[in-house]
Amino acid sequence: MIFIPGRVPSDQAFEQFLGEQHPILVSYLRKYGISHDDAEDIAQESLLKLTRYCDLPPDALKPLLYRISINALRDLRRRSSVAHRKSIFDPIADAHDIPDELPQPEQWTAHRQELARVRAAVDQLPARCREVYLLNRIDGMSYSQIAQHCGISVKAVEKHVGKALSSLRTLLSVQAESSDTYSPKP
Amino acid sequence: MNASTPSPHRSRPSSAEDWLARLLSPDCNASDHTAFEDWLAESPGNALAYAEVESLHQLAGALRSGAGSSAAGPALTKRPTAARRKHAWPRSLAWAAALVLGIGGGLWLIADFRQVPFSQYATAVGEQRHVTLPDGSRLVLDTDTLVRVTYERSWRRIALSRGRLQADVAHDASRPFVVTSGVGSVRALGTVFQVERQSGNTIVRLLQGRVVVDTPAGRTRELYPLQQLAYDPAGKLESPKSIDSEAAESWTRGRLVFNNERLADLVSEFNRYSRDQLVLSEATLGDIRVSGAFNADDQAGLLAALRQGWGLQAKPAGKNRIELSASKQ
Repeated sequence: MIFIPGRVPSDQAFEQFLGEQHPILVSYLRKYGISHDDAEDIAQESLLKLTRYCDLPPDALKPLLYRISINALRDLRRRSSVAHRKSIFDPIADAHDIPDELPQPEQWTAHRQELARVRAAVDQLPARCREVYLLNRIDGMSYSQIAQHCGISVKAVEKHVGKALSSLRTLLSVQAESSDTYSPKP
Repeated sequence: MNASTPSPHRSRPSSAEDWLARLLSPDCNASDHTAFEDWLAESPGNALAYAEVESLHQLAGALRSGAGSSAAGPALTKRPTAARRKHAWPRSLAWAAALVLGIGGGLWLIADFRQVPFSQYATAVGEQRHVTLPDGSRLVLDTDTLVRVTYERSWRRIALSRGRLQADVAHDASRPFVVTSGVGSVRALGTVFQVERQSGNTIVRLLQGRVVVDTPAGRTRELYPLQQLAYDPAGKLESPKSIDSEAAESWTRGRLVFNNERLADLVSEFNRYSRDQLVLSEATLGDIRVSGAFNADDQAGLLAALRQGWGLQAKPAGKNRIELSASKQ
């Protein structure tokens, strides 16, 4: 996945993006069991923060928007679980995934190829690093669960995940450069 | 037990990958979230790198449905249909619309915008317009201006896409009034201020009250009354300058006031109001200093004043172009 910074969207495209994402983001946040008003507040604040990045390509905006929202959601839940001295949800494990855009039929081949490249890159990770990353990403285990499972510290889990991500990024960018058939999104 | 206790003085991550790994950690708290956003806003490179890593991480999550099968496994092609059924109807409609936008463009308007309450106001070249908003705040829109107004429970948001506006803001401390332009935003409580968008740059002029200007490069900066502050497309702030309220507000009454300003600036200001564009025969003419007050829609009056006062001749130079040159004497 490569973004091309040279392609600057117009203001109108940015405004369209905000308008388009707003209702999707609110319903996404509501799935985590917060009130409509809280979801609206988080969505508004996150969309507003996104104006700092309005010159980035739209492909890059979405991951930023959702991560900023997920962080705000976690802050909110942390505050309310402290206030009520209880935790209804595991506030960490279930607020991770950014909704993925479903590929169109004509993109399926490209999507499959992209996944195959990711899988190949994952296979090249050092054993411990791969294990930790897959436990988190594929098995959905939290850092604490992985720490217990592997007998390492939470900090070490974080280190492995960071290492896995940077190795994957390097491996995939090398592949992208050396591959004739692959081209970044137009 | 001791191994998983977070240390109170952890180092902040410095790469996109380390940031994502930190954000996924149960040790990550609100102050990390703030530091993360500061880091993101530090440079477009940081934001781009982060978006790339996040997308990669999401893509890796999609391996889940393929569960170790071969790369071209049919599970992956089936996934879209299965996933689509799980979502409520409006959401899949919205995703479909998002994809249409990515591929063909256009149709999203019908599918999505009715869900977001907003009003859009535009003025034509040479037109000005006064708008009273639901809370009593008033906008004056200058020539060739486009704004979108979104009033929500906790924000009053005005997005300036082009042109210039003056806002006279009704006080409501619980609901900030925010004008966004380019990468920056201007936040006001009860106040009168202007925001102007000019070839990518934004100029903020404060007439009364308080505003806070926020850009990713300059961070936040508070303005005092009768000051102006400009920022460029990257959000880099210039130092504040003082302004004259009479001159700053003159355009809201259709008057353009110049006090010892460059002819090039006067010409570009007038050109915003007219289809007939003035051009200078030589760039050096742009440095001539001019003063005067003119009606924005009175190009003939301007040309007469320039002829009499500064010896500049105007002649048609093609469709919708009028060339100004120093008279030959």
